[in-house]
Amino acid sequence: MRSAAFAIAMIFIGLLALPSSLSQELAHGIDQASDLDEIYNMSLEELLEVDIQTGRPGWFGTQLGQLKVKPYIHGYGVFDYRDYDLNRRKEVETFDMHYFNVLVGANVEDRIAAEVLLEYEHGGDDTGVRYGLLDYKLYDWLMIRMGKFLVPMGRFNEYLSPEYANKLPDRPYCLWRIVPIVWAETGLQLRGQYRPKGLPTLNYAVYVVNGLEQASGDGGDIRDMRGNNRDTHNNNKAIGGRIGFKTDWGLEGGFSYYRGAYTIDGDEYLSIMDLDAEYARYKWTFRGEYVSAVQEAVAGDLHKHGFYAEAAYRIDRHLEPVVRYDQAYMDDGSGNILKRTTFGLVFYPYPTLHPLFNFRVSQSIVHNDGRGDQTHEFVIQCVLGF
Amino acid sequence: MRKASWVLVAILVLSLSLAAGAAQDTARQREYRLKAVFIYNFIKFVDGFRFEQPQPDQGEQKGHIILGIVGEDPFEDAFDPLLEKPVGQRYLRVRRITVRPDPNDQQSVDPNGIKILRQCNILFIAGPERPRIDAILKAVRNEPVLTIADQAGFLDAGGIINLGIEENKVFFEINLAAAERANLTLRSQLLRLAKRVIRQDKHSRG
Repeated sequence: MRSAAFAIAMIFIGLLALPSSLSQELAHGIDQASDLDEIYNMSLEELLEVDIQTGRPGWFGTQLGQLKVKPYIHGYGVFDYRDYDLNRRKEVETFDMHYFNVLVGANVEDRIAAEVLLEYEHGGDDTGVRYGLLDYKLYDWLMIRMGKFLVPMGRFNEYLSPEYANKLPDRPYCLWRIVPIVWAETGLQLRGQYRPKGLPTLNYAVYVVNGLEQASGDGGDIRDMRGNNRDTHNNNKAIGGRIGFKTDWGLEGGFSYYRGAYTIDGDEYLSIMDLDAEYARYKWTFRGEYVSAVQEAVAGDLHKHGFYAEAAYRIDRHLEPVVRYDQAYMDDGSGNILKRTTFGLVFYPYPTLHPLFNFRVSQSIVHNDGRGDQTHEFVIQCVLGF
Repeated sequence: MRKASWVLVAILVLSLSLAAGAAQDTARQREYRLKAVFIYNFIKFVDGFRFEQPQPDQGEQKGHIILGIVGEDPFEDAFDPLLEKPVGQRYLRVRRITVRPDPNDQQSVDPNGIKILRQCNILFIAGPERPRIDAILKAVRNEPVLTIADQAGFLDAGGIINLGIEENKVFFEINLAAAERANLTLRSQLLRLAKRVIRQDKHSRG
């Protein structure tokens, strides 16, 4: 995909053309003079930058510490009790240390940031890097993001996917099977926000990534295509973007699009489209998303689509009932449409810590679980961001 | 064999001890080498020193800039390369000074010590002299002597420049009120580079 290579080259050329005073400062700090004789010819300004000790124990990390890089460690834990986990098709009751995820990062002069989310899922059964990214703010309205990042596809993947920010324990079907949340890709992204005078704030993102890739054949589950951290089969890159807006009176919305070859031979393409909206005013929050995917296949294209609609009302500072309906059509030949209605209640023991610490209980009426059956899901969950 | 093992362990421990000591010395030497160059550079930004008349054998050379190091000298040979570098038309000379308390007033320096201190243009008061700082500063109060130290509380005691260390780098802070009392003018470039500038202290209120 030559256009992707060209786009990557242009981004880097643009980056190199930008003022690089910060990088020069960093290089100077690391590479400063160690020769004692040089000290005797230094000015006061130069002397103030000289390290007393050189050749000390420690390596690059020690030097970064001297450069005033301020690291941080955060994370979140999610503990579940589940009776019938439909998404994972486990039909027994279980306790689950669902996530104990660690965030490590650093911010340099509010222009450069690095952050990695180390995932420990299901008590450590599944581990990995959910995302690891480097951000470089070029201007107030434009930032370049490099690494493995959460794909800006709708609101949920980037902003609600951290489980403590979601209002219900589980994600909608369509954001499980069509938009394969949690979905991270490796590549380059340009993003930012801008407020034209008298208009809502605009936010935008475009990206080039390795893209989803199916291990063999075509027409498989989109969710199983994740994890293409390094392209080894073809040069095709996926592209995508999102444009959104946010008003002062609580309405947000956006349109997202993704397209890339998903088969090993690079011949079949997958396109995903997402429309999202949220309206939060007074005690009400309404959310919804519509997603659609076209998956090319030799035997005929698959058309997958789904949506969810959610409403929440904050009764008081501590309690917030939630109701959500979601459905998804997977075009898997069965004709089934996954349908579910979920009732939940969020309890905020310390409202000032909202949404970092809360308890959630939910009961789902599963009208169709994909096999044509009716069933129920019951989840109690405690989440804590720290 | 056991005896041989103990000998080896002893040699290892001794080596590590010596190595640790050597490493500390190196860091301390570098620190004071840096501080020496700081002091040398300060001279360029200070006006108002009172210089002795040159001796007849000095020809056209102007008087020296006398740096007195009070107490145990932490600089060792750090100033040596600077003695050959002129500041303007003058050269730096270092004088090691030991002060003794006045037999009649333990809170003051003895009269001979006061005389020696006042002959200096710059005084560096070493750390071990901390208990005598008030007495030393009192001896040169209102004299055009640039007082420097590297210890907490030095500026509050009425010293003019204090050197400190933060994040492995040397910084300096200035008591401008003390400099004014000494009739020394510190140039704005110096004030700009200081981490902290005190413009009024408890002595100026008096």
